[in-house]
Amino acid sequence: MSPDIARPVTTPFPVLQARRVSKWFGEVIAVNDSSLTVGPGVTGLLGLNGAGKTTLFKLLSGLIEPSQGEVLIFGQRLRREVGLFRRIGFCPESEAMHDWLTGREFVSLMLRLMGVPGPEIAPRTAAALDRVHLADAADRRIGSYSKGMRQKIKMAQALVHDPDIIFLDEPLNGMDPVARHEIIALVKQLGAAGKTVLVSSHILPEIEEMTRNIVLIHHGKVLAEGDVTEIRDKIHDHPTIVALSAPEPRRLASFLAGRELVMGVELDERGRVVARTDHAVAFYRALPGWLLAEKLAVDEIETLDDSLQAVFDYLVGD
Amino acid sequence: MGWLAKLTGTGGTVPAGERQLPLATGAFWIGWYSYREMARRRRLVAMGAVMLVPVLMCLAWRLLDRDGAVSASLLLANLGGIVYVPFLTALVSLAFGVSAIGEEVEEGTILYYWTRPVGRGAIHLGRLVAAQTVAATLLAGSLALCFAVITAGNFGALTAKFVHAYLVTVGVVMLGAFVYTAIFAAMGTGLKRPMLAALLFAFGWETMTGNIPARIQQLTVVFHLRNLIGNTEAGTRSVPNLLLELLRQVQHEAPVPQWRSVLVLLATMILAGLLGAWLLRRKEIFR
Repeated sequence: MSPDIARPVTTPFPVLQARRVSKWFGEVIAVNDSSLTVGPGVTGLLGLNGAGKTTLFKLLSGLIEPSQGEVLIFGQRLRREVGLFRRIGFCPESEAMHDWLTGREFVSLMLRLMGVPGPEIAPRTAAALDRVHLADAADRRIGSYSKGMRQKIKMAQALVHDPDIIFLDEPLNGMDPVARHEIIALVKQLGAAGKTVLVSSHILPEIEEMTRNIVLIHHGKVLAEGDVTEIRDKIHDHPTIVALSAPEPRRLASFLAGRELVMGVELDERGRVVARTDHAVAFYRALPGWLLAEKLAVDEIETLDDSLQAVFDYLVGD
Repeated sequence: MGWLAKLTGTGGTVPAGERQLPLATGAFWIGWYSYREMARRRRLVAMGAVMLVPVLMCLAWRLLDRDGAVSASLLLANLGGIVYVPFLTALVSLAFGVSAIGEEVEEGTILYYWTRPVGRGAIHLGRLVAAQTVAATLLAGSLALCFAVITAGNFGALTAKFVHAYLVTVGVVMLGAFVYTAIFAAMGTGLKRPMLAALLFAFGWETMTGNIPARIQQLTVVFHLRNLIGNTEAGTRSVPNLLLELLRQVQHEAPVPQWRSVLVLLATMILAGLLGAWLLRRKEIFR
């Protein structure tokens, strides 16, 4: 691998940072005084249509300039230091591509424009195409590709130079279930390898399959940032609902009803003990100790509204 | 990071892994692939067909002018001064120049160059040089066909002066293509409806102002191109020579030296190129 491209992911600065960023178009404020920090791992950027998600994504990836505030990558402004794009991979939502090129030619060109030396172009291009399972169609013109194949070639060009930061805008658009599964696995691999991956999507189940770390934007403002469970824990208007399956449900229910962390308890139609708590994280930490002390057994624990959809609904509303 | 370090990709104190590509490298690869793309477009076929019109005019001359009323030199002088400059050169340059950057932005494909460590100047330069090359090649090819039709079996026309006049015409037309393409590329980068502005410039300002026998003519590209194309053998029967003579009589001053016209044209091309690069640097990519 060329020494110009490979470098360890260590930096004194946050990888990606937005500081009080605003963007307006005439009188319309698309992003309003938003700050966030994104580090290694996979982060999902969520928001309804018109929430400012796309504008925030374009601000973070250097495609547009903030009206106010700044976006920093490794402590530098991307729009001023285009050299930073050596460390960035970008997979756009748009399907527009150079249709007259073959997949291989396209990825090779993108690699050349990264300054990769000539002898490395062919093997790295082949490796990138293999990674997205597009090797068989690599020598066909992009214009003849299906929607899913176009999505894969976009991923290939975003990853071919082994970037430290990867921006994925609706990466699963148009993909069949097998391809979806492959790309989700790839994204998780990248996150586990310490890459910083920012995925923008309006399809919550897709984000949920890739990561528990989210940034939620609504009406141009960052509403929440962090792990879904931790965010959920802070939503006091809607207590977390936990269902516990136990051999002695009534005894368990009676015990939990007296706990300070538990707001209410009932038995559901399946005989499970359903508890409501305002402090889910503390509840889960305390639960094993309680069960041991009271010699109570629990077969299964399920959080009924810890999903991304639930968090999204509680924060954004219908 | 100094501008020179950025231009050469040496980067100064910036680590190698964060340096932008040298200007020449980025411009070369973008230019090479852009040239290949432009050579595939339907636009090339359409312009190629238009380039055959002067060739047909030469053919008509060969067939119809049996008594030699119009000499080869006069034909070349008028072809160069009326057909190629200002019409065909501006037309071809407009066809490829306006879309050099504008089309990439419109279609959204510029995003792939944008998200590479390539200076915006290199993107503009690469696309511009590709467009200039395609435009100039089409025009030179058309002139070559005209030369072939004029001289085929007509070796009396093949004088040293005629060949010289032909080579000067080719050079001036190609220079004109380079200048006009740079201007139209800047328009394509900076304006929302560049085609309208380009048409108004090419066939409004250039045509009207370029024919007024006054000093204001010197503010047009076509004036300086005609100034270079002057063909003494054709005398005032050549329209360009006639226009220049008219200007001389009205202004009562010496004609503009040709070296000055070359400088003006080169300066215009360079300034238009720099303007285009500056406009591209400020652009935001929404697609």
